[in-house]
Amino acid sequence: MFAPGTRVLVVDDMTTMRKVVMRSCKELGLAPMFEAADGNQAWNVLNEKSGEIDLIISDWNMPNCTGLEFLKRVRADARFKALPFVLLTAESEASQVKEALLAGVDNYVIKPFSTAVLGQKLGQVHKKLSA
Amino acid sequence: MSSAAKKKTFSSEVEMEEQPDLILIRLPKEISKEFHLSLESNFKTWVELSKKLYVIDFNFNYDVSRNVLSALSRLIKELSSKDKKVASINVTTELERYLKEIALISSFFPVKDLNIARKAAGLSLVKPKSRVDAEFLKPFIEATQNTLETQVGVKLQAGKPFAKGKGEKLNIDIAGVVNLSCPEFKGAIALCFASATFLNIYEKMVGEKHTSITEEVKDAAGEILNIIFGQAKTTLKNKGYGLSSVIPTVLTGSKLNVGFRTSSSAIILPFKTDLGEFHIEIAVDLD
Repeated sequence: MFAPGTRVLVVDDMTTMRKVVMRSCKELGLAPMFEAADGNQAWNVLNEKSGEIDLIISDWNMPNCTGLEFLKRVRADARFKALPFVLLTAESEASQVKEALLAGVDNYVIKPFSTAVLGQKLGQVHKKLSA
Repeated sequence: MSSAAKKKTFSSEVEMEEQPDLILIRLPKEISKEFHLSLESNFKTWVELSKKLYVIDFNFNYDVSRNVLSALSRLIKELSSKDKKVASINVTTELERYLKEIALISSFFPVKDLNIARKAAGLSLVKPKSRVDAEFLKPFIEATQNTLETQVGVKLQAGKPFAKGKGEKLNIDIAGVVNLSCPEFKGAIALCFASATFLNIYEKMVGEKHTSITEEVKDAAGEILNIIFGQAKTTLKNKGYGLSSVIPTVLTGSKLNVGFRTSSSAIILPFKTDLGEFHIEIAVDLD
C-alpha cells in the first residue's frame, strides 16, 4: 500500500464524490490534499503543484475534459509520465476500460465502491510500481 | 439475459446466446492465438439455427487478429447466403476504422446496440411489455440495493412496486431525475427522498452532518442516481435496451411533486433502510 501521507489529487465533477473519495483516502492513511472538478482544472493543479502530488484518483465521465483525456495529457508529459493514476468509472463505461489501460492508467475502480475496494486497487498499483 | 434466452458456452472462449429473435455470438475479453479454430468449429451448428439475425459482440476487444476476422468473415458469407442478417456490436473505433480499410465494414455492419441491429433486420424492437415489466424494473431495484449497500454502507429492503395514483403526492424534498432516451420508448426515472432520509444518507456516505438540503449536498441525489443508472443500463443493454448516457438533474423543494411528461402514470419502487424510506419513480411511454 502507498505510504501514509501519500499526497493525492482527487478529480470529480460531483462535490459529493470528491468528498467520498477524500474520506476513503483519509481512512486509508493517505493525504488527499488537492481537488479538481474536471480534467482541465486538474491539469492546472498538477502544473501548479508539480512535485507535491504523488497519486491521482480521477473520475472518467466529466464535462469539459474527461478523465481519459486528462490521463492522456498526463502521460504525454515527461514530468508526470510515471505518476500513479487511478480512474473511477461507472459500470456502463467499464467495457471501455481497455482504452484507458492502453493510455497508461494504472488501475480502475468501478462505482459503487467501498473504501476496502479502493484500498485493494491502490495496493495493486503500489505493488506493480514497486516491482 | 432474458429469461427466454438460452446461453451456451462452446469453449472457454466463445459464448453463444440464443435470444427469442436473434443469435448473439460474444467474443471473449482475451482472445487466444487459436481462437479462430474454436470459432470455426461452431460455424456449422450456428448456421443451422433458425434465426434471421446474428449479432457478433466484439466486447470492445482490441486484439482481434486477422485470423479471427477472416473466420468471422467466412461465417458472415455463409449466413448471408442463407438470407440471414448480420450486425456487430461493441466494436472499438480502431477496429471499425480497420474494417473500413479492408472493405469489410458493410459485412460486419457495426451498430451501437441490439435494437439498431433488430431495426435494420426488420425485427421488432425490445421495450417494456407493460409499465410493470419485471424484466425492466428488476435491474433498477438490484442496482439501487448494490449502490446503497456498497457506496453508503446501509442495508435496504425493497418493497413491492406499485402504480402511483393520479395526483398522488408523496413525501419528497429532493429528487435526482434522468430522462430515459432510446429509439423504442421514452421515459424518466427519479430517485426521491424526504429531507430527513436524504440528510441521513448523505451523512453516512460522506461523513458530514447537515441539517438542511443546501447547494453543497444536493448533488449527492444526482450522483447516487447516476451510479444506479450506470449499473441498470449495463444489465438492460444485454437485454437489448439501448439506453443513452445522461446527466441527472436534481430537483429540490418542500413537498416536491415529481411529474413526468408521459401518457401513463409512474411506477413506484419503494425502499426501506435504517436511515429512512425512499423511493424510485419510473415512467415509460409505450405509445
